[in-house]
Amino acid sequence: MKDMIVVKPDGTQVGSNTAPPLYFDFEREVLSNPSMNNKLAQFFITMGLKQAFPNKQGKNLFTWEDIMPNQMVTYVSSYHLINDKLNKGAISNGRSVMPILDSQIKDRQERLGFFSPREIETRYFGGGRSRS
Amino acid sequence: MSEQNYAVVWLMFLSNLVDNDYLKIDHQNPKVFLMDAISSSFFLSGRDTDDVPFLAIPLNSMPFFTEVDWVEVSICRKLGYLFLESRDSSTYMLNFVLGIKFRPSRLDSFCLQGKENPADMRCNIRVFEQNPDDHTDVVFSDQSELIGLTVKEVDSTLDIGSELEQEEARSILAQSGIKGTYTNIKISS
Repeated sequence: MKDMIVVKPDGTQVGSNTAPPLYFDFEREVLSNPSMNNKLAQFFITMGLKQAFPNKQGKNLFTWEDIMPNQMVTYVSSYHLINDKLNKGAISNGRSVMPILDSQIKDRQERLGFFSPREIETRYFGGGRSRS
Repeated sequence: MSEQNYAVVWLMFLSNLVDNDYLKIDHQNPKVFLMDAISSSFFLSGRDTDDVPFLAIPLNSMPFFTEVDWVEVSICRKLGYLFLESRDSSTYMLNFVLGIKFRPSRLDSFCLQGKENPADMRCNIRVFEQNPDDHTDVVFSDQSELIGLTVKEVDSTLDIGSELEQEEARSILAQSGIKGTYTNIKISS
């Protein structure tokens, strides 16, 4: 298995390298196109996301039946900001990746409110989709 | 139980990939979402020094990526895919499957064809951090994020999940009203 990546227990790589992976830019891959296609969203929810992430008794951030597109974008945007604060550089600094809690998202949303459709358009539309 | 915020991240991630033509819904088994070669190159594969295979995922996809109950990986050499299967931890029912495209030689990282028995293999998930200014600068985590996913070989997406699950999924797809171009059906003129 020539050219295979081999990683030591301490995380250092041994052996030959391969082509670098495509950089995963969260804003580009997740937030750049928040004009959610409703039918497609409903398909993913019904097909597996609702089962993988069922409504929680009494502690819901949302319920699948009632969530609105602008609420989704607000939650994901909050996730991204909190995640960036907590986990940026985690691996290179030898830190564990911290979870993002619904309570952190809820707290932020209660302080700042939900994005309006206009705010979403201003912030995220046309976020540049070039992968070159 | 997992935090719900990860669910909306997954929803927007998958929708974005489909909208941009980087992911197709398998028309035979619509529980399977097939990433194309470009999007699949977010991931790396390899082995630990004790020869345990791993799928490596970017730090920027953490923590949402591993907050799904990934329990099994299936290697499909015919299609050139590694299928990452999310199942209900108690009922083992299939939630959904993410298909990541790999070259045949890279699939050997997970199980060496003809030399290793998939039933004897276990796969881990590791995280790597990539320098945004120098994409060749990649650092791996010193421990695996998920360990011990079972490994099997399949011939097609129809070997994943039960017939009942697949039939139900096809029915959901048929009723969804989503565009045919979102699936991998080849349109012939």
